[in-house]
Amino acid sequence: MNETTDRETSPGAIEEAAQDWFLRLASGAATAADLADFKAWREADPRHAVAYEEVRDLWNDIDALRPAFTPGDEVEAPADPHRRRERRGGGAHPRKAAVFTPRRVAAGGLLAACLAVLALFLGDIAVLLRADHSTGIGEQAEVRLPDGTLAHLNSDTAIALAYAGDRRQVSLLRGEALFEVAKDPARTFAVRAREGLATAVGTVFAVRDLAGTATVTVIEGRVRVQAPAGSDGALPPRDSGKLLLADQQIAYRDGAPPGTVAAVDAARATAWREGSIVIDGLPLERAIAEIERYRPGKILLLADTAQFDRVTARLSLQAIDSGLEALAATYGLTVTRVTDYLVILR
Amino acid sequence: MQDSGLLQTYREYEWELLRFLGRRLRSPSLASDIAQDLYLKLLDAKEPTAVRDRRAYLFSMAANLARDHLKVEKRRSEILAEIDGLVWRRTEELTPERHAMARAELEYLEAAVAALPARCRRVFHLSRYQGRSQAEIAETLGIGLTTVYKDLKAAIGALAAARRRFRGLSVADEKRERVPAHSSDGRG
Repeated sequence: MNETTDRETSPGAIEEAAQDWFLRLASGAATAADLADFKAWREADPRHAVAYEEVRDLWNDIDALRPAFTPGDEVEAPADPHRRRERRGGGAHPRKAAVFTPRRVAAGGLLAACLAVLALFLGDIAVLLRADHSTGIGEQAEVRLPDGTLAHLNSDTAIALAYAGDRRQVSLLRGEALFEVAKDPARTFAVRAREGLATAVGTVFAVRDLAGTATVTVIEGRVRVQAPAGSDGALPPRDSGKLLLADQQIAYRDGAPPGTVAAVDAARATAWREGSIVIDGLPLERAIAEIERYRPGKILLLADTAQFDRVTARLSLQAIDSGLEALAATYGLTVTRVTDYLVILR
Repeated sequence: MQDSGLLQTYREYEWELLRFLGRRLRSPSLASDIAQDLYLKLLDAKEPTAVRDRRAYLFSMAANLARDHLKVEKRRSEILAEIDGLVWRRTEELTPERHAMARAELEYLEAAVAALPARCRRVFHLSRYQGRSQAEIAETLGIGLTTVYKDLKAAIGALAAARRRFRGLSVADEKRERVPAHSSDGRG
């Protein structure tokens, strides 16, 4: 054993070969023959297996070097798409609004709306740079993904694709999307929303990211939800997380384990696919927030909502404004249209 | 060449065949692929003389094709899973004793990364951190597969060399620390 000192200072032929084998296996195109050849090489000499493990360790140990490799001109850090919504919420604080006179509220609301639109654009640029497909507010789209999966994008939604040899992964950058997953047992299909991951093989499910909460709804088949799911590179263990069946729903927020699995009428929860919003027993302000997702601009609710009953309604996306008016009328509220982008209910 | 009897039978039962395959393969799109294969096979092949029941014959051909497909798929997914385990650390390997690479070592490697050419860093980034295959990287960047490979090799080679240098240095450090400890005999 005289090669140890040599190998400490010079790469050496074995290390060189180990790197070649590693890159071949990691190429995304390795075949059964490659695998067999590799095993033959690895077994030919105990030093081969050691050298290979060293390359593999190196490859796996360098998660933290990601920034060093990231090209400077790319927006790589997960640009926080939620900041925008939080700012929007902050701009129209209901408690604050209550002490103002309506006129000052309108002016303040207008300013808030302008700031919100500005924040919206700043947030948008980062998201849109990363997005492979996106929709504007009030817009919906159907996208056929490279593997045949059909993605329905709801209003104000952006997704990015990360397809690799053995992996189909979609990141939900914001909004809500429903996936009719093409069956492919060799490659699982996963959707990352916030810190969590929903994994399926072939099924229909929807993921949404709204106001800091990610929600996964299963329409057909089964989906595994893991949150937090760890970094982008690594897949979480296969049997962790929660398994959802059809007509079940789960929600999670960053930094917390997912909530309990709840029964849901999946067809109603995903009625947006057919051009409707179904509101099922929500408090008025949440119902308004839901409607707000589908129309550009801001809806200010200037009323003490505590006295109102919960809302159950079905609105057509084609005629959302008349739906809003009808809804307001049932609560005795009047609709004041300040601009196209600012509507006040009181 | 006139259509064989089997081709006619195929057309007659196509819908039923598709449903049959769809149930077996649990995917309508896969079913139509296999049905297409079956159709092409029928176009190419001469009709066997001793077919009594053409419909039954067609369905057993379809069943065989479906089974072969599932077998290949299964084998393929097993191979992919095995390769995945040879490249990426498996969860069960992440034992508490396994420490993350020390900060000092990472900083040392970072310097080596900074010295790499920009394209090389980008290629490695796409491969290691974005999970792109080498073919995808070649296409994305509009460069050849060989270039992608060389860049990856250069990056991993530089990292390995840096790690070796770092460990060589720390071995030397340890020795240096140990020598006075032994000579002064003060610490144990």
